[in-house]
Amino acid sequence: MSKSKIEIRDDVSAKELVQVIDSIARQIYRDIEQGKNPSFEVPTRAASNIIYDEKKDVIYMGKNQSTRSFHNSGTVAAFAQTLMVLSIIEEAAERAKHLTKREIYYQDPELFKKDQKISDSIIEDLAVTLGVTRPCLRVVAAAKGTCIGDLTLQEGSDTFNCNQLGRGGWSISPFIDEVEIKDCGAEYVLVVEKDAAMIRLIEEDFHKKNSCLLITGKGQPDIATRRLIRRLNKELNLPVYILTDSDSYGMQICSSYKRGSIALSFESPYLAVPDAKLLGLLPTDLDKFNVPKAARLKMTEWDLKKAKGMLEMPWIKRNKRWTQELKLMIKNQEKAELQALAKHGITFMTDTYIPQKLAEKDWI
Amino acid sequence: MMAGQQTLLDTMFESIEKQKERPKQRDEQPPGAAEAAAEEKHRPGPENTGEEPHQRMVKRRARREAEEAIHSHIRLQTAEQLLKRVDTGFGQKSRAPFQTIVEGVQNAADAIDKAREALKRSGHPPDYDAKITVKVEVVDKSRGELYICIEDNGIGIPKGKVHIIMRAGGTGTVEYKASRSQQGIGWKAAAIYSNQSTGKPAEIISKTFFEKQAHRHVYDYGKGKVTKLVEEPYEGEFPEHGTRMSLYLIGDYPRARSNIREFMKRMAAVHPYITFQFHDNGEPTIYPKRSGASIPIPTPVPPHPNSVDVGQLKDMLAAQSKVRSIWISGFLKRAFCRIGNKSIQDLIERTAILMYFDGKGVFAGDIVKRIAQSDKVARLKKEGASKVEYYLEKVLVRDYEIDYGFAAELVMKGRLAPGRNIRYLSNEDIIRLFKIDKSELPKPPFTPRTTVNMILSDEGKVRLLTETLRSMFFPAPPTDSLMPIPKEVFIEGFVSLYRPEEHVFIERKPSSTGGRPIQVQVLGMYGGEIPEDMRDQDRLIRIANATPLIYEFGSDIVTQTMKDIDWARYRLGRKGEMPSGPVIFVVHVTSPQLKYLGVAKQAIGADDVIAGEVKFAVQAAARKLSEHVKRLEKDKQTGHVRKYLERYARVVAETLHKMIDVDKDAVYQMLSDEIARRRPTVITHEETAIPQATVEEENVKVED
Repeated sequence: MSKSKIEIRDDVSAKELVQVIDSIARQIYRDIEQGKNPSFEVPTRAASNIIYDEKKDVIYMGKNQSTRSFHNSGTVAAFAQTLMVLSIIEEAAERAKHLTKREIYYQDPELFKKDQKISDSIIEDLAVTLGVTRPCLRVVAAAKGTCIGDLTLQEGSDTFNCNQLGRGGWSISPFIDEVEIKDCGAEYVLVVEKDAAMIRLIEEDFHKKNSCLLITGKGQPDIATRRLIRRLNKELNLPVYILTDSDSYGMQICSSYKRGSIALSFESPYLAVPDAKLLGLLPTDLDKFNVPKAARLKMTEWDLKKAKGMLEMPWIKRNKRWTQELKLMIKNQEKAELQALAKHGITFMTDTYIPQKLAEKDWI
Repeated sequence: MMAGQQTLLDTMFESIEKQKERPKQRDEQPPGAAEAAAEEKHRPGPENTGEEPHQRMVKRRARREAEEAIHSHIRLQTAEQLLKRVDTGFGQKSRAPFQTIVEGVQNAADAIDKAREALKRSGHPPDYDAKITVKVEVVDKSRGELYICIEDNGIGIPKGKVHIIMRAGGTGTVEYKASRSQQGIGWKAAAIYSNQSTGKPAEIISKTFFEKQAHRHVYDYGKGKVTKLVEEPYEGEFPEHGTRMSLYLIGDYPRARSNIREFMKRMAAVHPYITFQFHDNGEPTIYPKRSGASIPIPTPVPPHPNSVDVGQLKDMLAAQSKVRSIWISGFLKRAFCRIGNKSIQDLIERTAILMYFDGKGVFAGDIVKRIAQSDKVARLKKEGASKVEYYLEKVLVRDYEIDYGFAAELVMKGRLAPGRNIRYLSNEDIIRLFKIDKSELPKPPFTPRTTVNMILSDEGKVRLLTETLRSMFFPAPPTDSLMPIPKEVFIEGFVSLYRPEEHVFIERKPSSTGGRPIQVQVLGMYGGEIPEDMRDQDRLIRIANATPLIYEFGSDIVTQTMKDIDWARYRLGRKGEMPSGPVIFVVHVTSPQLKYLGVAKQAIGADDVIAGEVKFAVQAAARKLSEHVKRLEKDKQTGHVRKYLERYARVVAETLHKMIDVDKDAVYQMLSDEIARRRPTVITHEETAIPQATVEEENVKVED
């Protein structure tokens, strides 16, 4: 398979966007006038159209395309939906406004078959089709991530330090590209998979004691959170460590921080943090830190299937530690949450586990 | 079966004449004779005992008397007695009025055909204002007494012949030709039932063209015999020629009515040259004459030699020998169809060959069949003659040495293929195939000039002749004895009645079974005004010799054959059931002396040839209809897709209007025009307005 990756621009102005969309609409009208079959060529956002860059350890999108044409009962819905989303984006761009995905969906829920996933997916498709990043489309996802630590930012006319916003931290702005990094006193970034672990760390003042930034994407990270982490990593050269549960889902989340997800692979160059390290909880940690059997859970069929599927990914295959850890997990069929460490006392994680892991450089 | 019917009829005719002359003493038997006979059985034979001659004589007489007692039940049956025992269709009160009308209308239609034949034969145009009127009047509602009268302006019955008909049966004659009322006992059965249920006599008024005046006869059928009550000139109004038959009977008319109507409707559909009137208790329904197109008048044709059996041949020979002693060649040519001088020569030679095989103990027919039916041979055929020859010699025919090369040649030419047998091989072929030395052929026990009596005197010769006739190839029987409904009549009659959107007419070439030709015609109709949901009885319209059949639907061979068809293959339902959906099949079977189940003639009896012919014809019709169904399904699908696309065309038009300010209606129109252009439907309504007849003639499939 000789694939070449698709080029994505991240510097398209609203005016440019309006021009592009207008010319597309006129082309479609010409096709209709001439009795042709109007269509969109959309790069395929699927595992089959993924290019893995070994050198950079990032996944990119290939150039496989599918056609969404009007005179095809299988694709006519997607065609009409795409055109509708284009018109909504054009309207917003003309007024220099941003849209959320949900706003787009509510323009015509009927057309999107009452399922926001459909309009969301059309938006992702459009970004690729137009060859721009989603922020360029002026569509923002409601960001759910939070960040706490000694980081001074400026957004619009506001300047603030993320340590001074209370224990809730800073809710990462959806317009992350318009946020300027002013100053940073932290030495590394600790990304936590879930809010529960984040609360523990904040309560123990971990970020203050260890001068680090704590960021959580609350599950599968959104674009703004990933973009922030990438910017911290690239602009400030901060190392990034990731803490997840010891299960296949945690490993997959780590992987999407590191290399990008399959669905959003076209934006990987702007989001991926190939340098990020998975600190824990690793399957080997379970024995190493004597996590009691009672605190370990049996893996479900789905977990096992997912884990085995990950073993087949090229980017896992070439990483011996990842492969080892995955194989161990599959062998033991055990998983554990970060909270399992609390069996040794609630401060065990902050006082012993993380410092020891960082000191021993025990990450993958 | 056919021979059986003939005998039965003969018996009936004879019985009436002989009843009085029958010697009385046959019924007398000495008391205790049977016991004596039983005793006799256990005793040792007289020749071994050395008893007194006198004693022996007494015993012999006792034995004879005993045997006579045992045989005393063998006696000629009268038609009346017979009709009491067989199902004539008068068993149910709801059916009796229907059955009466069916019998009467059949007779009437036959009489009209005869009038047309008389006109034609005498050089006149056969078409005239033929008319059949059926009247039903409720005489006594509480008892269910009805008056039924059927009048036609057919050929009429001469005054002197009425008693034959009223005594022996209806107006039918025993001939080798198709007719509606073939046994001719239907009306009589109705009259007997009428008398049993009401005690009233039956009336018949008739006039022929040449009689000056109509004549009225009244017959009573009470007490198991036929009595003439009245014979007088009729002064009332009467057609120029025709017959009016009337009787009273008890019946459940409300329940019979719908079937009678259905019968009249279907009868009218296949008889466009007759006006049918149905006076339903004073309410007339008229099915007017539509055209002069008629059903051909069948002419008698002798039986086909391929399907004769020993008993039948014996009867035929016996019938000839009574007249005078004639040569077998003359007999064969006259008694069978399709036998000429050449076939007589071949026949004698074929007899010699059969005798040769008998003498050698060779099952030649089996060997030929084995080769013809072999799947392996059929497969090897593609690989060439030498492969076939090798396989025949080494594997298939090792029990008898034949000319393998010639056999392979016959296989390659397709002359030995599935469905073929020794009948399809000429004498020369057989002689070469079985390497027969002509000088070794035995001399046949008869020549063309052997007399019929000489053959009849020797059971073996009759058997041999039968075998020879059955083992030779004769062309299919001529169709003159059939009464196929002309294609236009068929189509016009039913298509105008049911108004389908698609129909197909299939006519099989005549085939033969039991020595008689049969022919099957099928009309398949689909859609239009035919409802989706119907009773099975409405999906299959059975017609036998131009008479619609209504009752005994399930037991009819046609129904059973229909259920054998895998309708799923034609998108018309499932196997093991009648077809489903808005589909009707009209199946017409015509044959002289058609075998019915029972005297009521409402169901055709089981017969492999009829079943096969019906199956082929219905399948061919179903194939054609399924193409239409497929088009409809596709159009329906296309319609769905079009609608689906048009919904999005609306969205696209509005969105484009918003984006670049184009006329949204114009955009929608352009899109929907393009949708229609890209997804055409096959059937448009303009096309279905005029039904296009599809007619297909199927190849002949000769009876095995």
